[in-house]
Amino acid sequence: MNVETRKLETGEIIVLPKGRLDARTSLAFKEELRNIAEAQPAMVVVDLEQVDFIDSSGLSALVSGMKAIRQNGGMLNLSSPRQQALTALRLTLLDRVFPIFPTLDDALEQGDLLSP
Amino acid sequence: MINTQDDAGVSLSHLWRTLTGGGLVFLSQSEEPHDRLEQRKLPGQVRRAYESGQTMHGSVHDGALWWVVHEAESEASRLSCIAWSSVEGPWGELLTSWTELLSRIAARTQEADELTKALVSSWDRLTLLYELMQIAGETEDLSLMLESVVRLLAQVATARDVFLVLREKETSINVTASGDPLPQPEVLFESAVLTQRPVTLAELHRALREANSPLARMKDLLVAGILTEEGHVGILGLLDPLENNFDANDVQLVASVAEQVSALIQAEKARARRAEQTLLEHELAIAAEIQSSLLPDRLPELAGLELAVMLEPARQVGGDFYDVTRTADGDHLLMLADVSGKGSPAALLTALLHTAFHAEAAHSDDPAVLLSNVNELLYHDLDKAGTFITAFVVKFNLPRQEFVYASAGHVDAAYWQHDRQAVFFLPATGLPLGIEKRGEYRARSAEIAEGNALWVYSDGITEARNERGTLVGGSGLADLVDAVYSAPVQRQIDCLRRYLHIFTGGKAPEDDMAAVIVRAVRREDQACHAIPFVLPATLESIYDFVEQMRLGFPGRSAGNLDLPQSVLDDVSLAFSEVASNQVEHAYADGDGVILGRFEANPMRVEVHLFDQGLPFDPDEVGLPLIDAEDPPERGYGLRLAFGLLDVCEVERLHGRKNHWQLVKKISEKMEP
Repeated sequence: MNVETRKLETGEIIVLPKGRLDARTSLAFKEELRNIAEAQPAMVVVDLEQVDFIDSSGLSALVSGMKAIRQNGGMLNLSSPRQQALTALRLTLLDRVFPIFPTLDDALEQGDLLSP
Repeated sequence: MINTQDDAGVSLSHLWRTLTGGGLVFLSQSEEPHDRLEQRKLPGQVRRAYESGQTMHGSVHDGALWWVVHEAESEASRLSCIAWSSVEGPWGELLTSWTELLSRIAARTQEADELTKALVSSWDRLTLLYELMQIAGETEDLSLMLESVVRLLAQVATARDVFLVLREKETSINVTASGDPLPQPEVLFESAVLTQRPVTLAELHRALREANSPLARMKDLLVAGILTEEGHVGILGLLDPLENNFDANDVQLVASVAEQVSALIQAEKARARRAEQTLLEHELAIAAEIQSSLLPDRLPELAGLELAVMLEPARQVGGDFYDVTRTADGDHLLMLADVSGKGSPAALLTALLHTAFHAEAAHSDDPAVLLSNVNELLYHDLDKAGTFITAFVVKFNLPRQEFVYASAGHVDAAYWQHDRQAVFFLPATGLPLGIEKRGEYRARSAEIAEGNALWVYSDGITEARNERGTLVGGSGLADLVDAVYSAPVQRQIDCLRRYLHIFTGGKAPEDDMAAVIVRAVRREDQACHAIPFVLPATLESIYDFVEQMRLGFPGRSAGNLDLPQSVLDDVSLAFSEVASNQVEHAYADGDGVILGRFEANPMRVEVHLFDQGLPFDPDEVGLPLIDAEDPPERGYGLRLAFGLLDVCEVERLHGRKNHWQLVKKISEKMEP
């Protein structure tokens, strides 16, 4: 798995993980999110469009990253999850924790939530 | 030798005669002048001056001028010059400088001589050490080697005799250059043990006298101990009837030769050990050949039954053995036996057992009668060899759908009864073969119903232990049977090997391990793809297995396993979460094994996982309530598994193992 991170001129940070978010990759991903949190961004969007598999350790990494960003006064949105990731988020009730948006633009504009 | 001094002396006296018409001699210390003065009588005063070391400058005696010059510098070899002449002149200075010159040349010559001597001696010794090293390659006989050592040392050392005494366990070796054995070597042994360096006569004299040893009459003696890994094994030394014959060089020589000899002895012992080992290996290879030639070429094909075997000797040849034959009325008989002992004796007894088994099978159709007869045949040989054999014999009575078995002191066999979903142990029905001359055995039977299986094995399997010393035991074996029973028997055997390998941490087996599995085929199982698994309880091994599962076990499933990918994804994710939970919670305190089976048919996928770890406590690790403001960072795994599956249940069995059942139904809507 690799992760692309970019910062918009307006200050939002977009994180784009690719591949499988499982026990072999999620530790590195969690570290990446915690590093991002240290810069105290107001808004981070994790774009899940290219994540084809996520397991409980991947979910744990997302929760851990979100908490770190929140503690620094920011927020974390998820965007464009594939079916497997969306199922995993719903089964674990994490769809009530993360704001989840169908597209990256929605996540940046904070409209059209996927989650209830 | 270098003759510079003499040559120079001759040249100078020739020159003197030409110059003065007189004569000249150079004399070294205490040399008698008369011997060298040609036709000239030495005047008394000149003689006295020469002898007292006084100088004489051109004094007239007996009608000639006389000079006596002594070289002053060198103490050791003072050179003097006596000269006469009929012609007056300033000859004194000339003679002084000539004498000095000649004296220097002389000193150099002597130095060179000594150097040469030392060089020759050290060259000899070096050659000796080299030749000593060559000895090892010349012969394998230790006493011949030692004789060569003594002979070589006698060539180099300035000694009347050289001796070498070795104290072996059975015989001792006592070699000398003279051929006469060294008398009372024990006295020297004791002294040599006390010190690490060569011992001289002065240190030994008292001990030799007290022991009344003839060696006490020797005027000089040097002895060094020969030290090997086994301690002081011998002595080496020099003898001489001259006092103070041996110097520091000899001490050094004896010490280094003693060292060489100990290296020779050690090399020889190592070679002997290797040769013995090779012989043993050769013998074992023959025994292995005998034994493997006795094993059946193939297992019988029995309608409705499948058979598989494993045999893993702990060393090259073990006592575990299996055999098949037929009774008088045509039923198949199978035997698994454990001959007590290893190597060729075990192989020979195995051959006897093989012969007796086949001979007796032709006369009896009852495993109990057969064992009793085999016992009677082998009793004498087993008793003589002080050993015994345990054996389990089973007859497959297909028309009556039963296994008939008898066991001569063999470890309990395991019987899987499918309708009760449980393992029952079948204990011995008599004593091992070779214990009593008239052994009594009972025959028992068990039903061959679909799905039932019989595991006959040797105690090497149940007594295999892990690093903490825990045995596999009957319970470990029963757990394995319970986990993998639905798979084809060859896969079950593979699982047994894997289980033993993981359980023992990959150690080489301490005892032979043999097993036979016989199973009555179940039609339902044939329609279902059963993949049994045995995994070390590590996350890595689980992820590797999950990857195989997600891909539908490429290359492993017989036939087509056309499962919808979404089902494989859900089941493999749920499996991964449950198995990770087993690693992290059930085996929180150490290593372990996760075993079970994956079964699939067109209607559903069912996975059973077992662990022998701590009980699962749903309250402790269970499903956390999610507080949206402060969600937990862990604990989503089982929630995922529960959500993805139709059934995800855990139960504690027999107070020692956890059983997880994972079921995913396949609906018709799902695309393959």
